[in-house]
Amino acid sequence: MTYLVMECHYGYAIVLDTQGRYLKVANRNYLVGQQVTDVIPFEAPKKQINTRRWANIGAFAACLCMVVSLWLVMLLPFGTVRLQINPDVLLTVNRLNFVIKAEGLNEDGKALLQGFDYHRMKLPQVSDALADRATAEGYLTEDGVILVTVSCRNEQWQAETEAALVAELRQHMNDTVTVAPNAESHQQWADDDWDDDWDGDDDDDWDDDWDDDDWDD
Amino acid sequence: MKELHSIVLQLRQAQQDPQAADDFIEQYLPFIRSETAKCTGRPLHETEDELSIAMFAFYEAMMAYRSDKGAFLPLAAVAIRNRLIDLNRRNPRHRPSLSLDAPQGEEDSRTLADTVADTDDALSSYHDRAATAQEIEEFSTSLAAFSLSLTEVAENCPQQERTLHACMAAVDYAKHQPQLLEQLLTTGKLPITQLAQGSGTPRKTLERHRKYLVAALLAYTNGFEIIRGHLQAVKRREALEA
Repeated sequence: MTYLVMECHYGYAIVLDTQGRYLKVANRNYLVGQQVTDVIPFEAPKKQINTRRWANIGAFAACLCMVVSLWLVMLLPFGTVRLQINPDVLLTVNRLNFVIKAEGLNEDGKALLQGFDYHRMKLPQVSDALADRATAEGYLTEDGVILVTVSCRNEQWQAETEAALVAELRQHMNDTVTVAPNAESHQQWADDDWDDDWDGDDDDDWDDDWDDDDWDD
Repeated sequence: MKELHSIVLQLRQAQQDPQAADDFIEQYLPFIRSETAKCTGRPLHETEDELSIAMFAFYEAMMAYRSDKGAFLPLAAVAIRNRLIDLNRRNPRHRPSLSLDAPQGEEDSRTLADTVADTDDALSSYHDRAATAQEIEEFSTSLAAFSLSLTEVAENCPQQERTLHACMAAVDYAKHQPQLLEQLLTTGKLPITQLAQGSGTPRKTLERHRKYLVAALLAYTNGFEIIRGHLQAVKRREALEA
C-alpha cells in the first residue's frame, strides 16, 4: 500500500492511502507530498469504562436482588396450616416456617386469636401456644380433638410439616388430647369449584378458582 | 501541585487542538529525548527514527491521558519505551546486511555503491514532490473554507471496511453527478439527501462521516489531479490486472 503524506506535525503525520482513508501515523521525518510504503498507524485510546458508574449500578442491582429475595423468602406465603380445635384457625407460613398471618375462620377462632402476637414465631411455637390458649380458655378439654390440615403446592413439605406438627402437638399436650391430620383435607386442591379442562374431572394442581383460600367451603 | 495542574490543563487543550499538541510536544522535547536515550543507550540525532517514534508515542500518550488515572509523565515514559521496543522488534539489529561502502574485492577498489545503477532521478523526484506539496497545500486551504483540517478529517475517517465502502459508494455516485460537487463548492454544504438517495448509503452513516465526505468529495473537484491520481492508482492497477 502506498501512502501520500498530506500533513506533518511534531507527533504525527496525516497520510492518504490509495483506498481513500486519511490516517494518523508516526511522522518518521516525512515531508508533505512524499509517498511512503511503511507506516506506523496511530492507536486510538481505548474507550474508558466508567467503573464508578458500573459499580453503582451493580450495587443497586445487588440491593434489588436482596430485597426481592427477602420478599420471596420472608413475606411470600408458602403454605397454610389449619388447626381445628373448635376454634378454627388458619395460619399462613413462609418458606422459613415463620407464621406471617393468622386468622380465625369462625367466631371462636377469632376470639382465640384476640391479642395473640404470632410475629417472629415459628409454626410449632404458634401451634403450641394456640393449643395452650384453647386449653386455658376452655375450648380444649381432655379427650378433645385437634385436626391439623397442612396445604402447600410442595407435597413433600406438606407431608413433612403435617407429620412434624402432629408429633409436636401430641408431645406438647402429653397425649391428653387427640391430634390427627385431617384426612379429608388432602383432596382440597382437586376438590375446588372449577372443572377447568371441561372433561368432567379436575385432576390438575391448579388453584383455578382464584380465591385466597382453597377450602371447599 | 500547581505545575501538575498546568500540565493537565495543557493536555486537555492539546487533546482538542493539534497546534496546542505540537506546542506541548515541542515543550517536552528534552523529556522525550531523555527517555529515548534511556531506551537506546546512546545520544540521539535530531532526525533519527527512534526520536520520531518516541514523539509519536508521546502524542499517543497525550491523547490517551485521563487526569483521574494519575500523572502524565510516567505514562508517557512507558508509552515511549513500549513503542521503541516494538520498533526494535520490527527492525532486528542482527539481520545480515551488505554495506554499500564495502570494497568489491581485494584487487578491485570500487565499492558496491559504484557498481549499482542509480535509477532514481533526484531532480525529477524533487519537482514531483514539490508539485504534490503545493497541491496538498491548496487542498488544505480549500478544506479550511469548510472550517476543516486534515487532522479532523483523519479523526472522522471510517475505521471499518464496510463503512468505508459505504462512504466510497456515495463518493462514486457524486463523481458521476458534477452538479453535486458544484453544489458542495457553491453552498458549502454536503448534499447528504441526494447522496443517500443516489448511492443507497444510509443517511445516518453519511452524517456520521460528514467531515470525511467533504474531504473525499473535494478531492474530486477541479484542481486536485495528483491526489485523485493517488486514489485511482490501485483501481488502475486492478483494471490492468483484470
